[in-house]
Amino acid sequence: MAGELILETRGLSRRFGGLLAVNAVSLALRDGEIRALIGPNGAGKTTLINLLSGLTPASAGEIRFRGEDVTAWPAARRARAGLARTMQVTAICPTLTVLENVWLSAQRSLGRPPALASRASLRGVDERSRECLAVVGLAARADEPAGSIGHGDQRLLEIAIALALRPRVLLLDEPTAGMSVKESWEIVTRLREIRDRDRLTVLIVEHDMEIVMELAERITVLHLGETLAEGTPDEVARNADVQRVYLGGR
Amino acid sequence: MDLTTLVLFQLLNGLVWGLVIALIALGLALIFGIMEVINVAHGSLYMLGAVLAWYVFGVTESFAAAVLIAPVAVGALSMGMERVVLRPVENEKVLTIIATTGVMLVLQHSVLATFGGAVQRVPSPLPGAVKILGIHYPVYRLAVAAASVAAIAALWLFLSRTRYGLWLRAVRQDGKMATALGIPVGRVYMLAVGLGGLLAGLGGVLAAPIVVVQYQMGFDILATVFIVVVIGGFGSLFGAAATAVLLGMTEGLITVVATPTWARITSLAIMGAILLARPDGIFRRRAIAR
Amino acid sequence: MTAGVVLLALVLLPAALNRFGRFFAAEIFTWALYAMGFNICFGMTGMLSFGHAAFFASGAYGATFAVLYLVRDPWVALAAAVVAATALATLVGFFAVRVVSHSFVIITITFSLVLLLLAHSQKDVTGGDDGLLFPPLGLVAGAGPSLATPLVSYYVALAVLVVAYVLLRRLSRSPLGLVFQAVRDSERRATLAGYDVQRYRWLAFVLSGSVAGLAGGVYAITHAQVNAQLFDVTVSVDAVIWTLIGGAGSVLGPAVGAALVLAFTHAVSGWIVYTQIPVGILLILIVIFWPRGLSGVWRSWQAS
Repeated sequence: MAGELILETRGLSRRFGGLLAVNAVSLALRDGEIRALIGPNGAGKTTLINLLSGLTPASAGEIRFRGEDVTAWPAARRARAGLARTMQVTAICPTLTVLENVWLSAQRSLGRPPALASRASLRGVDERSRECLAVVGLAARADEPAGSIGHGDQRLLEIAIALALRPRVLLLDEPTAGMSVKESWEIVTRLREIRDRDRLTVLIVEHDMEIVMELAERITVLHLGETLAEGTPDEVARNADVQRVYLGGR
Repeated sequence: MDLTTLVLFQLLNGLVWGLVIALIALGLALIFGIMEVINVAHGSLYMLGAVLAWYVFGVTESFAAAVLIAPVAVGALSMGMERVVLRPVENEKVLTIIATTGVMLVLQHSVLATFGGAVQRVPSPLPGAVKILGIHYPVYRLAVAAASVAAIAALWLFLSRTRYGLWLRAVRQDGKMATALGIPVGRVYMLAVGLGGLLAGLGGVLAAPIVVVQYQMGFDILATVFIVVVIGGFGSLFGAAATAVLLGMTEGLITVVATPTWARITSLAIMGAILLARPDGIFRRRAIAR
Repeated sequence: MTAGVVLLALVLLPAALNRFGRFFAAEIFTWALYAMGFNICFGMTGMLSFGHAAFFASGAYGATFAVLYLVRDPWVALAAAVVAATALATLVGFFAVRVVSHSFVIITITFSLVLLLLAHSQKDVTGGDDGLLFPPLGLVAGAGPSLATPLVSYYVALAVLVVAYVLLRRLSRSPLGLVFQAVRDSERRATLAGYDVQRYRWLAFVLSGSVAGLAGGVYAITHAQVNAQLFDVTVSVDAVIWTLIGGAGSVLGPAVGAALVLAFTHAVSGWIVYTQIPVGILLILIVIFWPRGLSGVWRSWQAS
């Protein structure tokens, strides 16, 4: 079901002083798959997401996105090219409205608008923004200041912002953190719908193993910055190494 | 004067001036290092030190009295500023910049209102010159250099040997941890700003007989001190002091071939270039690693 | 509707003013324009510049030089003001936007102090504190009604202010304005939405400097004189004060702040000589008692 390679790393490493946070990770995502990235705290999951999205420069190795070497690209360029992400700690513009937050990336994804155009004249941007808000269920809150909505809603807003970029690959860093179980499962359902509709590739860092097992088609397990295992949920669940270090088996 | 003598003379001038700048910059760096507050009023505190020195000298005819009274008065005023103006806004760094700007306006124009806009001079308390390195050099300037070095040494001793010094360093390292350890952070802040003001005031007193005393003299020094603190590594005391001396001597050297104004401009330009050559290492906000 | 009434009132106002009143109003319009320009940098994009005097002064001198050495036409002078300030802001901004918060303040203040020193040292170019005379000019290609009369000054300053206001309001509601506000709110967010934050900060800085320079140009053609004191740090600080008092969150706020403070200083100047003292105290009080106001006001950009 998954297509050709879309995001790939070779020997990707990041060193912070004496700590090798990510050590020679080689990862290959296929177009349209949902991949979960799991591992105990300090495994290097967030660092890996930062490397992929360009917020942290790589110490060594290579990142290829849609066949191009993007290792040296700054974060903004990667976002424009279709590599979107959400942050573990919510990053929204608190004084802008919910809708404006989404506008920001929607207007970017629809080509460079005339700088001084009136926003009302950009109907395409408006439609796309509202559509993305509807997808995550925030349409009713469009005109509230983003800083005033609840934490769970801000997480959803982040996803809407990322979607408005029309990404090919969506990197989600613990999107369900701080959400109720019900909210988390709603997100999971929506994510799958979006993926099916837009043929999106999703790499998700997630702690809740139930969600991971349900949502992911393949799982990559990181441990101490290295790839410990990779495979289907069943394969990973049966993997002896994974059980030892991560799933808390004897 | 032949060239060697001139160069030596200007180098000495630069050294003396650099040491005065170091005093003032140390005050700014201390406040910045501990509270992350950029004290825009710092130049005005220096000016106030010089103006108070002029008054005290006028009344007592004693420069020693000025050296004792003026810096303490400026330090006390700074502690008041910390308590009244900075304390309510200390968590909003941009607000502290604006608040101290307000203090600068009030100080500067209060001095204009009382002291006037005219230029005043404080006579050198140690007239005469001594022969040093083959040139005749004003005794007072050498005394200024010695006094500055002594003050810097005293600051170092205070920070390294006393309980309050230890507290200052602890707050500087980690404010939250210091609070948890029971260090009265509020009092430490007040002390830091007071000390910073004391150093600026002392700089003003020492400079008064060398430069002219005037209500706008704080402006001239502000950019120099700012840039010294930035190049020195934002809050690093040693860095600030070393940079100040280097800056002073560079300026002194340039004065051999150019007017003082051009020397100031050139030295600021050089400092600016250093900043731009090393934006990451010195003052660029680092990307968050994780 | 309200805007129309206000505009009409401003157009009719000179009838109720004497010569000094007209001149003083023109002065207020000029500084209001300067404050609005400053606020593109501060209120809209979140960069606190302490060096905008340099752009105002370079605009004033740009206009003066254009008239002295090129053409005796006030509109060419205004264009020259914008060109001069834009060029300077492009240069300063290139360096300044590489740093944020404290460092940005220091870099801008340092640049402006270097220029102040230069302006004072190059007396044969700038005229120093005595300054240069801006020759009295006619309104149209140097002929016609003279700019030296308060009434003409009034309408010229008002016209430029209104045009700039309309453009800035448009900017604040445009896609570009949205990016500036996003950069102010969250640099990280703007980056992840695909914007090169540094480039947008630079652009905002240059636009801001251009408008400040335009105000400097208006100052030159309506004051008939420019001097090196326009480079003074106090001119930079004024922009900060006016903006804080009027509110950084709207296009018009800084202009209102400038008008209020200038009117206040004028009103009390009869019995307080040192008007900067109450202004300084006011600044401190605002920071202490309405600190939420300062960041909170940023919300109302759309409503302005």
